[in-house]
Amino acid sequence: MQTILSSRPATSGFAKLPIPARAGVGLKAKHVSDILKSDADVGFFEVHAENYMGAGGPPHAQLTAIRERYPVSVHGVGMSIGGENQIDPDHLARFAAVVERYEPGLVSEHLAWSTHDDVFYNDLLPLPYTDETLARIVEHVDQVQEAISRQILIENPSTYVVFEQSTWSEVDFMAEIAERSGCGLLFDVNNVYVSATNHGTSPREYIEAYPLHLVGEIHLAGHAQDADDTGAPLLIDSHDREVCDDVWALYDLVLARTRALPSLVEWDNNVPDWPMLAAEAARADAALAACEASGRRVA
Amino acid sequence: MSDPTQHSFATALLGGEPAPPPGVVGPDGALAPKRFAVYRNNVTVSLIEALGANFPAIGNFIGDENFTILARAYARSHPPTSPMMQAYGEGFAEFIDGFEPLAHAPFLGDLARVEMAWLSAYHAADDPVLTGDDMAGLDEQAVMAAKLRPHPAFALVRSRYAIADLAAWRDGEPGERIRFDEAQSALVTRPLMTVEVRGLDQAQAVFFESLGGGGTLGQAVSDGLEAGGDFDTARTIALMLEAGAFAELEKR
Repeated sequence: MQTILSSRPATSGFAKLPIPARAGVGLKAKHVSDILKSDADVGFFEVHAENYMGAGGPPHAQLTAIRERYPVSVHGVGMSIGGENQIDPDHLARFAAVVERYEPGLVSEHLAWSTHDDVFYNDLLPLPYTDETLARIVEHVDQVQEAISRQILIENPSTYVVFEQSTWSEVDFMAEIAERSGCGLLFDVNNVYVSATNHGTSPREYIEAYPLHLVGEIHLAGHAQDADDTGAPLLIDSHDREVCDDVWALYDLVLARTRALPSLVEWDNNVPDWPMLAAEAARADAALAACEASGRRVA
Repeated sequence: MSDPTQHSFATALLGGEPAPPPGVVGPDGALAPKRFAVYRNNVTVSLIEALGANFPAIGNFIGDENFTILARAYARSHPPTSPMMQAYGEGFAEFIDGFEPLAHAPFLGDLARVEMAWLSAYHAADDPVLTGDDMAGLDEQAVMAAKLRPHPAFALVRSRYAIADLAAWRDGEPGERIRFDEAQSALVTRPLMTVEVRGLDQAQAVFFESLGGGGTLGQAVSDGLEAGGDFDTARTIALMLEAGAFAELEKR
């Protein structure tokens, strides 16, 4: 453990380090020593902000060592941007402190809620897409962006249910949030695939309609397969396995319609050994390299 | 402006009634209990997993199946109120104390207290620890009059049971048989990046309680001596420095 200790004091700031248009990996404590020892060739690492809200200890020592060598992006999972309640000022202050401490290249959160009446449900919960929820979300995104003095990216969700009261399509809703708040978008290709399958819609049409020019980062992940009340396939955004071939194909489609973008492989449950995760990132890197090569040909 | 759907959605997540809230349907417009159950399951499983990560000794000791029953009951009655899951389980020890199916293992509540102290120590601020050098320049009178600021990771958990030995269950079943009824106190510290748990006898525990509570070193030694005739002052102060229990001499 001592080999990864940093001499850098917790208060000293990092210089800005932008996220490159390469594959990144969600940082797991069990991989840190492999990453540092092998000087892993990874474009960036992404961390969940909530895991670094303690005062000190191994989480900060590890992330500091990573941040000294790699660009880092910060992804919040507990802000409850889509919540009916106000943003929790204490949580927002802790979030801002993480951003200030690590000077991440990108900061993102979810179109979801997780807190209601002071209970934190530890899940990304869905919301209806209405004028009312739109206004609330824009206000919350504004608050977060103001607190950290920078733009955030908002991620499209995986959903399992539909709300009868929704009056907006998800694509238009995301575009409108970005338009009104000035935030960017984080495009989770697996979420598009999961939600489209679950709701019997076309992921390709979703991608074709999406405001991809507002996307600053892509997420890729694996999902589990279940069945719904009628026996139809119901995909679960489980982040517990490899990215499936259909999602890789959609990823190529997204890249063909935009440009090479920072692309994160998320693997949060049944986390494999480092080489397997590095191989997933290498696959994303290959797709990005192909995208850049074809872009140059066109140019 | 209230949004009835989010409230009914939230209350159905951890409640006993699994029916989806009104207006939450499948793509065909029909009520879809199995779809809604994905969220119920995600929430409950994620909270059980968070407790399992925070209390590995409890989980290893009672086994996965029993832990799931215990953790589900706790999560439903004491859901988290903060997104910092590394702090979830504040009242878990008290809940275990009152959990009838575990009444045959009355030491588990205190073991959970040690695990909560372990978590706090793991995430505590990285203050330097007090060393012998910090006291080198002081004469004996000044040393005995000194008050010490506890290191942010320092915690003392007193118990009627062998909780410091039981803490070895964090890494799986210990090789040695534990005599549960041996009264121990657990000294929890984090001198560098590794949390350490040491077993203290009762006189040593009194010493750390006195010193950690703001008493002078002299007072703590005298409290320790009073608590047990075999209290070894030099050995206990050496243990205090080795464990990194304190951060610095308190400035006057």
